Amino acid sequence: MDYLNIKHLNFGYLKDSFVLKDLSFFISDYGVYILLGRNGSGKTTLMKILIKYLPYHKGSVKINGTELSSISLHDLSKNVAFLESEIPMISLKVREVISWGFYPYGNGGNVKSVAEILHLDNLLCKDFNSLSTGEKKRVLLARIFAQNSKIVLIDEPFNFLDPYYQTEIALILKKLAENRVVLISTHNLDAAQFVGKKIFLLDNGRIIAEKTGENLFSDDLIINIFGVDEQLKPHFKRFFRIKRC
Amino acid sequence: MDKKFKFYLLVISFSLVLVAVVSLLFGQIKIPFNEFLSALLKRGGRIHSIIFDIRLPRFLLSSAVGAMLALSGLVMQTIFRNPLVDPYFLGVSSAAQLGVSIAIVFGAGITFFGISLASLLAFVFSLVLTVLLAKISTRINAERSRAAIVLLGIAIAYLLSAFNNFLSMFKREVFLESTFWSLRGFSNADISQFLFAFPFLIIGFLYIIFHSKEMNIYLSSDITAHSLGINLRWFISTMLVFAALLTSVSVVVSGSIIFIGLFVPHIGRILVGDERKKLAVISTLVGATIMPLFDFIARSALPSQEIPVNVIASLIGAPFFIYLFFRMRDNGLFKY
Amino acid sequence: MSVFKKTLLVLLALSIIFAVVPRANASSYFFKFTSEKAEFVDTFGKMYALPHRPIVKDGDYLVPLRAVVEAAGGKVAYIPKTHLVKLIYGERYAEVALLSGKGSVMGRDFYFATKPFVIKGRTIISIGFIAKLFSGSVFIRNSQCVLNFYRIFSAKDVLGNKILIKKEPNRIVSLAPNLTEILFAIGAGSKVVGVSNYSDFPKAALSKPKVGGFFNPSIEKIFALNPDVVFVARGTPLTTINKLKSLGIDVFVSDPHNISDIYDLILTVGKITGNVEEGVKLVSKMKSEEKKILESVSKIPIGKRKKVYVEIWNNPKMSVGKNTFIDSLIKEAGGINIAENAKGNWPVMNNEAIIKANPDVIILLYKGNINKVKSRPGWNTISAVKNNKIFIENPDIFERPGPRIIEALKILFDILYGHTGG
Repeated sequence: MDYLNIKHLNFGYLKDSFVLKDLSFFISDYGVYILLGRNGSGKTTLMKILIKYLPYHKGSVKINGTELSSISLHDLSKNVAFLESEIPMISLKVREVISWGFYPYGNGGNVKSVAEILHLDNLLCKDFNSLSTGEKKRVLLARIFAQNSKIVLIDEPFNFLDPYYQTEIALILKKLAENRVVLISTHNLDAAQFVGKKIFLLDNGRIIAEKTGENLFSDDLIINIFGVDEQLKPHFKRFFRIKRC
Repeated sequence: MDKKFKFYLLVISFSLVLVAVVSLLFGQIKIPFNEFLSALLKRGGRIHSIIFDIRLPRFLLSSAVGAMLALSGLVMQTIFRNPLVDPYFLGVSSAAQLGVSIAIVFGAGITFFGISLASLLAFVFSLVLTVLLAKISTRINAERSRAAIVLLGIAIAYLLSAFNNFLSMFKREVFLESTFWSLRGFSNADISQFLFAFPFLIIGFLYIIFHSKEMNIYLSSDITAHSLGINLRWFISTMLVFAALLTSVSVVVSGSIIFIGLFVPHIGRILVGDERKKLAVISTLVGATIMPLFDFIARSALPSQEIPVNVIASLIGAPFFIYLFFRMRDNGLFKY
Repeated sequence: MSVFKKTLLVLLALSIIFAVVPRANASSYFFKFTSEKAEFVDTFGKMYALPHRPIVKDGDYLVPLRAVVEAAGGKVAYIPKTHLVKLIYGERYAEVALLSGKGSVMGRDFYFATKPFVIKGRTIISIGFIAKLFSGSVFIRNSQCVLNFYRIFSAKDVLGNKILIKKEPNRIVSLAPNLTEILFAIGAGSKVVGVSNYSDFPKAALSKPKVGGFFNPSIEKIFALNPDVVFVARGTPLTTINKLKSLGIDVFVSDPHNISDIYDLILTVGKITGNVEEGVKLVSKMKSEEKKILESVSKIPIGKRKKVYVEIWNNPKMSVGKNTFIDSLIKEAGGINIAENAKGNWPVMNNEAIIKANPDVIILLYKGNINKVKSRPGWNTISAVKNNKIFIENPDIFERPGPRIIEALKILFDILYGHTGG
């Protein structure tokens, strides 16, 4: 049984426009999967649909074999965890934020063990807002750990982070994916290459290809996705040090 | 529970007891302390009557109303993620006044089982509004329902104004009496009003405390709350229903008392921080202490008159709020 | 003895006489009996029948017991087994044992100069006993007898509440200026122990303790004054009235709409306070003055009736509509209220409408400025402005339904058909 199976998904915010058109893909193993696409390609929208934050009218979305529309919000939250790309302002203690992962079951004691996994145990009593961006991301990921769901969706995990933290987050994601399906969205090719088991290329509302691993930069498809027109191409290649095979 | 919270809990509770004693002991009529003590023990006599029939109901009612308004304000500031909203944002006070105006046209003196038509209609109209709010926030998605509710509150306020003007063409009393009604405060407090309001306070308090976790999560963002399994529409609508209910009961028993709902949660945050459970407890206690204090000043400051409690609340509340604003701005902590 | 000591003795004697001899209280309610008729009258001239003429015997005045007590609102119960008669009047009670001829009032033995007896099944008893029960006083002269007492007041006030006042109130609080004026006018001023802040007439009222405003009186203050009854006008909020009642205080609510209501109110206040005769006198005086004015009005032909514009406030310009008090005064004084067809009781007036109506007389019921009024745009065409007939009058006299209302009527008449001014 697939963890995630999406067939012919269609979604549009307005009546006649479409953000996602006939989108299909599936995930049947643990690991880190990448949703790669331009800004506005629908990565976030797709994730919002997967957690039932947005509705869908055409197509089928099955989580663990069950159609999304017949899963209750509560059951969904137990099976699918989501982390948004923006870091919200939270003027509470780190301990409290991590404990949200256990909602609605109170489980204060386990906060410490989760915190230890991510080396946050010395920050538990600090105010969330007072942390650095990287630390905040780690705390939010700790919450994801605490949720203990088989499927994890993370929107743009590498945003706002310096290379140090990007590496750190990448390692945390790998750890997460040891026994989970972790689907992340990003447009960061380095990170995708480093961490991703399989990469779904999202363009024009549908998944146009699935790739694995290295040399994403030389891939023509990818270069086309990022809409590189002839004027930009030489700069693009220089910017990303693209080598011709 | 951290030390800060425990400390303030003790301090505020103690202040509440202090305010209670002051409310019973002092007033326009001087009661010597020994007479006060003896009146507490035996029944009958004028002193006993002043304490138990006039001052005690006033204290209990103002305390309950202060608590309800503080709680309601807290819920409002949470749901709208805005530190500047107060309980009347929903239009409850306007809805109640609408009911009162209509009652006055029919004859405000009519009573049913001892309850005046004005109070009855005031409550009915604010309940209608509450139900309307619930329906709106369950039908539309979260962002749009919050905006819709704001507009609803504004619309009700204008509607009331127009209606009052219209009715007062025919009966001058409508305008006067409905204004008096909303300014009346606690001067005619009766124990039955307290007994009416108290269950609402308890139920509201318990519900809010039991859902403080959801409130904490909701504060971060809509989608985080949703992803953790909180049904946003249900959450927003029930919270607003409770806020509206608490406000309605307060308005029905004592008219519209401003400022408390707005600034008591801020005081609470300065004392114990943003965590909703602790904040709810402290805000409730602070509200329960401050309101009788204001009422005490309102009824004792001038020799033979009662100053409307709103005036006291504004005189003390407004400068305090301005101070708060500057302090928060400096700290860069303009949060909800 | 020195002159000084003599004077002292005389003063002493006089004071004893005044203390001991019961004085007829001229302002209280009375029953007047004559031994020649089987009937008696009260202060209002109302006649009550008696089953038997009063009997003068051995210096004692005897009257039928049941007829007199019940006429005053008391209750009489006869127990045939024991031949006991039990009487209740308000909070007072009495008993007569017909067999032994013994009586008691409020538990104390009453000494009968002449023992009570029965004629044709009716008990005839000494009037002194009834006076004792009523806590009143008796003045006997030959065949006449006047029994002064406080008559229990039972009626419905304007809210439909039944009021029962069982004994003469000695401590009165008035929460409206018109009621204060009435109380003082009927001589009950000495019993007033508290007034609302705006009770400023007569001057004596200014020195009374204040209990607060019209709509927000201090309940504590009122309660501490220990009033027997509180007089309230319709505008005081119901919640205040109910709170006072819940503290065991009698509250009487009034709401006069026209002059006839004012007469009723004065009489009722008199009945409640026990100043019945004063009330009756005041009302008859007001009525006769009113009658004179009405006669003068009737002499003015319909075609010569003057138009009047009464302005009760200048910003916005508010006048008086059809159902108001002042409008009824205008009509009685023979005037035509130019605002009488406007909607509502206190209509906001339109400049053009006033100019079009062209009033002959303008009355300002506030501290206005006549020159400013004259210089309003377009107003120089108004008759009243041209003839300098703009008057500023005391709003209290016009707006308070009280004893000075006839004064207001007179002023209105004079302004319309009498003096010049402005």
